[in-house]
Amino acid sequence: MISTLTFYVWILAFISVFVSLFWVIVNSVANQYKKSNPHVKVFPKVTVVIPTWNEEKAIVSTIKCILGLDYPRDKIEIIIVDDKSKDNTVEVVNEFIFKTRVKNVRLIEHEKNKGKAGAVNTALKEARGEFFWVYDADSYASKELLKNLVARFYEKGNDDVGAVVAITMIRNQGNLIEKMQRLEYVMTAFMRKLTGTVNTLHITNALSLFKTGLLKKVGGFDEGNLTEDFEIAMRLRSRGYRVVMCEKGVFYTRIPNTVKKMWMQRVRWFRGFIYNNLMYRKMILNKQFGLLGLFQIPLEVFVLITVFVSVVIMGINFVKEAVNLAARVFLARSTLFEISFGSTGQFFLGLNWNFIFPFVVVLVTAFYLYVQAHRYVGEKWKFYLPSLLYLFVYPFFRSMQWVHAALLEIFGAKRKW
Amino acid sequence: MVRVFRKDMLVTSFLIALFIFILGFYLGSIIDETRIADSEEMILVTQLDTDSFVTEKEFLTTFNVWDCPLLNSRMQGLGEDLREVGEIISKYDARSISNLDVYNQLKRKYFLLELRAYTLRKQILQTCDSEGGDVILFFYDVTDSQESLNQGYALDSVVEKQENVVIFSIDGGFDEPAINSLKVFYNITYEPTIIINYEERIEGYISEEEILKLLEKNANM
Repeated sequence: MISTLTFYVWILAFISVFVSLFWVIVNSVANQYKKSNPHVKVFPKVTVVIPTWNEEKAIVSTIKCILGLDYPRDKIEIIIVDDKSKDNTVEVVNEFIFKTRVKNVRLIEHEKNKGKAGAVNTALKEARGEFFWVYDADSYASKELLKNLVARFYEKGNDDVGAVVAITMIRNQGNLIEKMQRLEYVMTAFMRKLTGTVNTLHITNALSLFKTGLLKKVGGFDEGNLTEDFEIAMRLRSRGYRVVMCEKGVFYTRIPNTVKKMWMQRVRWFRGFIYNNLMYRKMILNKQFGLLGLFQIPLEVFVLITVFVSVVIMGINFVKEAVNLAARVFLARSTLFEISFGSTGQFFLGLNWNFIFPFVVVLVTAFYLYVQAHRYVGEKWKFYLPSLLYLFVYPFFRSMQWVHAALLEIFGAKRKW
Repeated sequence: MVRVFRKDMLVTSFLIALFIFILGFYLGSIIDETRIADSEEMILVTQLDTDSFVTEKEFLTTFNVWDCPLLNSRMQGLGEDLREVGEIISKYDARSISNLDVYNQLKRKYFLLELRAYTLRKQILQTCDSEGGDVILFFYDVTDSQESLNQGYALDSVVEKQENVVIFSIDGGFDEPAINSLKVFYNITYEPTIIINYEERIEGYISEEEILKLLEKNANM
């Protein structure tokens, strides 16, 4: 007889296979088209905002990196908004402006800490550029990125584009935690390409480019939000604007290098995801938003729900198995390692194919997407310890992070960066 | 990048996923048929072994040439074979998603073989006294009973320490007239319950140490 657990696994497996296959098809169709190669004819003014908080070490190299971009220097306006740093960030910036006498770099100081969104909004009020580029102080962009981001707005049929998202890769790849996240960034870049292809992209990140006027019109960034970059994308989408991907050029960011830091970052992201999805729940299963409302967001919410159900089921089964194991250890220790397999044929027949078969199918499609993702970012895929951990161990921890985030949201824990 | 979404992408993905699942169910049914065939073969072999044993016993009885060590050793072997068959059938049964009736029939055949062996063991005991070691009849509950599981572990450990103990395990909730008669005979109202050497009835969990003590006491009587 089919147990509830088997039925649940099948439903999950079917949806996983269906969704994976959908992305496989989207990828193969997208590959038939050449990557857009925008030809830049105009260089509108861009305001680059760098929100800083204790960035004395990184800020100068970040400014230099922006000034060194393949974009007319006089068309770049850099606004550094210092969010009440405790170190010498302000002095370092002032010294840089004084020594280099650059006219297009400005510093605004906050009298009290307002958070990243607050700093960005301060710059937005002062911005004179046609486009608005939020640039994290610990990130850097490849030289051609800005002109390609701008060019995406001028492509035919892109009048309704509200934001352009860049491919994000990581700067620090030293330890195991960082290497594991590198794979996550590769997969994320690839998934953004796919969601961009079917117009369901609804997230922006550091170094996304916005239309300044549009940002002002929609009220700037949400200052109380844990993931203001996600919220602004949802807001733009909810008002009928598109978010698109720029496939030419990369920006590099720093990532958490310890389990604790990574955990806290992910919990913040996931809390933001839950909060913003609740805030924009009118988009869920709403025809008006096309595939985004009918497929992408419901799918993400479904994944979130299944994470909870799976964690509960896993927890119950874990306790059951632990009790059983303890009973065996105490009652029949001598038989603990006595496993009867029967013949080889009986061993295979006795395996739980109800779980193995769907698992293998999902694994094969996931592997295909993994290879394709590496190809997309121009890297050779390989299997090594971090990828195995990322594929088989990290999902368990990610589930825990989701549960942690949801509990914090349910109990109304204070939102802090 | 171009916007390329078409509804047929979703439909195609859905149809391929559906095809994969239908294929999975088909493969699953083939695997299940193989499991059933394997179980039937194992039961048939054990049935033949039992028939062979009965024939041999009848021959010895007829000609009055009892060879107790031989009969005991064959009985011991039969008990072990039955235990293996039981383990494999219950594993297959847990994996099966259909064929509930077929597995019930297989289990019925298996339990009947066990009862037959249990009765045969009693007949040998009457003639060969206690030379053949001990017999434990174990009534268990399959419906998620940790107590029954624990009793099973304790009995595993007993067998591990006392090689001449034969255990016959019966699902107390299985609907089979022969099992019901046995339950009435031993007044089984609760699982787990064990019957040691056809007489001593212990209801509820009993530890390995206590079972070993009881077996030792029986041997000294």
